[in-house]
Amino acid sequence: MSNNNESNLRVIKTARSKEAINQAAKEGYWPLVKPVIPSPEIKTKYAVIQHSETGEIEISADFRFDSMAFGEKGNKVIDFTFYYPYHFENPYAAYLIPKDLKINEKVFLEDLIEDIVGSTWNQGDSYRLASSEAVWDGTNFKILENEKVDFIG
Amino acid sequence: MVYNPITHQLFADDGSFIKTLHCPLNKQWEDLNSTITLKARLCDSCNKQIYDSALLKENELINLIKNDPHTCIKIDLNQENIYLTHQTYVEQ
Repeated sequence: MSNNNESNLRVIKTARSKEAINQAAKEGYWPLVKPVIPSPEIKTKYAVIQHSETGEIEISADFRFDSMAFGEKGNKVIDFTFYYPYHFENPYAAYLIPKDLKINEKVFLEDLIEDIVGSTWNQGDSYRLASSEAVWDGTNFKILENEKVDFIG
Repeated sequence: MVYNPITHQLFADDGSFIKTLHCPLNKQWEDLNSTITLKARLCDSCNKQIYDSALLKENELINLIKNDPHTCIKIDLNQENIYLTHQTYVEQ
C-alpha cells in the first residue's frame, strides 16, 4: 500500500468491478461495498450550437461561449441543460480495507465512491470530489472535506 | 484558455491540447509556500514551482509547458481568463 499524498497517509484503493473486488478479497483486503449513487448536487450544463449551413455542431459548456460558436451562422439547437456528467463502470464499488487498518487512523481515499461536491463554478456547475482524506471508525470512513478544492497538476 | 474539469484537460483558445492536470499528492494552493513572485508557489514535495494560471497569459503558460511538460499549474474554475468545456483529448 503506497503513501502517495500530501500528508503521507496510507492510500485506500477503490475497486469498481466484481472481479476487482473479489481479487482484492483473495489478497486479504476487506471490501467495504457501497452503492454508487449520483448526487443531484453534482451537475454540469451543455448547449448545442449548429452551423446553419454546414450542419456541423459545437458543444458549449460556458454561457460566455455560445454566442462565439460559428458567429452569426450559429443556431442554438439545444439550450443550456444541466446533466450528471460522470460515468462509472458499475452501480457499486468497494473501498479495499487492509486488515491492519486501525480505528481513528487517518487515510487517503484515492477514488471516492461517495458523490461529494468538490468544486463549484459561478455558472451553476458543480463537480465531484475525486479523492479525500478520511478517518476510519472501524466500520466506515468519515470523509474530511476541504473548504475549497483547486485543480493542480 | 479552456479547461475541462471532468477530464482535467487544459486547452488553448484555439482548441489545441496543452496538458492534463494531475497531482498524485493532492496538493492544495493554500498549503503551498509563497515565492518571490505572486505567479507561483513552491511545492516542497517536488521542489517545483506551481504557477497560478489566473495570472498568466495563454502564451506564457504554453511556453512554460513547452520548456518543461511537467510544469504544474493551478486552476480556479472562477478565474476570469478561463472558459470551461466538455472537449476531451485522447492522449497518445
